[in-house]
Amino acid sequence: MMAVSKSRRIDRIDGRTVLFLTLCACLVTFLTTSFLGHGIFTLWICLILCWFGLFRQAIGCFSIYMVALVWLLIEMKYKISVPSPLLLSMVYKLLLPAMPAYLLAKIPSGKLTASLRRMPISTHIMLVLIVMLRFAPTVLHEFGEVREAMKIRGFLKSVGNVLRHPMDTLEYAIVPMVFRSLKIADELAASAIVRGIESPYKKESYYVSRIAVLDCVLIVVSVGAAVCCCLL
Amino acid sequence: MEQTVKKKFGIRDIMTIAAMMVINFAIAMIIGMVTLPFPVVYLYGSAGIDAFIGAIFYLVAANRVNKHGLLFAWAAVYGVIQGVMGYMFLIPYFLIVALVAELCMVGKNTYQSAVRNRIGWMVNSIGNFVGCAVPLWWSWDSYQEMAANSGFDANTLNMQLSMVTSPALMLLGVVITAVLAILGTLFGQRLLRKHFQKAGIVG
Repeated sequence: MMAVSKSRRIDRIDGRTVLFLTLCACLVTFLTTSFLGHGIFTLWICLILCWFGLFRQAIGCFSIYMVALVWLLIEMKYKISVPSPLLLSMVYKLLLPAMPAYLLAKIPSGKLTASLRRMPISTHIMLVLIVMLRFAPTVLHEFGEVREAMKIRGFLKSVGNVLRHPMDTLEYAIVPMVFRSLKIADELAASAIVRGIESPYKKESYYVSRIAVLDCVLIVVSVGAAVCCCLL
Repeated sequence: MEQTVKKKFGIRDIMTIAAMMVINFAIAMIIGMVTLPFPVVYLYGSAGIDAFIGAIFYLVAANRVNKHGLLFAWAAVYGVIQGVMGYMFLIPYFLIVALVAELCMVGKNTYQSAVRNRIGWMVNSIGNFVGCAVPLWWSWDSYQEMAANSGFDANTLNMQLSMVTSPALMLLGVVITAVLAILGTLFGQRLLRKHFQKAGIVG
């Protein structure tokens, strides 16, 4: 029952709204000059993730965010440089846009395509972006598999071994990754062609794509929060 | 020999480009995180290291798709991603880089030519390196404020400032990036011959 409710909430939101939230998060990360403003907007995005039922991910992201931020503040105060403040800064700054991007990846691809089709973007660029979004978790999974295979075959037995033969290690990691990714890409292409993606006629979707009250509320509150956080 | 055709991208081509770009960006992000604690390497070398490793994925896509517009799409999507991440003013810059890189590929069968791919990829990589300096040229003061709030120490900021204001240091960065991009395409061509052409997945 709970699962049904969660999926319904994600199904109720339009892809363009989540894309807009991602854009807002990126702008806040880029424009905000105070840690407080950045933190407040991150909390807002966390609440949105929780509302969509993604509690574990929201709490995990916010915990990492807080650890990175607090550590960075300590480093800045006491002039410590381990771990690198730039790295901590990158972690806390990237987590904010990563959270709505994760929500974007959770939207069914058919619904996302239907939503983005209403935007003035070239179909090819749109398809590349959607496929990239869908492909990212797959690539991470595949990378893990390749790493396991390399470990089993002894290619990653020691750091010294990797440093002595960096080109060989790169080759052993990249070649299977490319083969596996191309195989998945071909399967995705075949699936999309069977569903008529190359048809020249106007496409309709199973999903209704419209900006509803929920979308308007999220957009308005997020814009207000983004402006306030940037001014803080 | 198959010729570089002027046909539109098919869905298989789009999937191939997207797959290769995702791996490229994932690796670029890892390189960024690994090189970030070492400011000199990050400033002068990260674009070059990206170019070295990314060349393999670009060459696989280029040789497989073999259609004009691929390098343009590659650089343009990179620009769009930068724009979505907040650097809106980089979108027109990357569109220009994309156009220049694509112009390097004018002609027949260029996406399967090792030399032309080397030139195109090198131009794109140099564009990426110079793109790192654009936010600093755009507004140094606000960048300085943002950087100070992000934990950048004075040394790193000075190093960045001297890099973007000194033509000699910019040239050094461009040369490092170009050399690594060329070495990347040489390594990529070797992998293409050794693995991908034998397996019949690229032309």
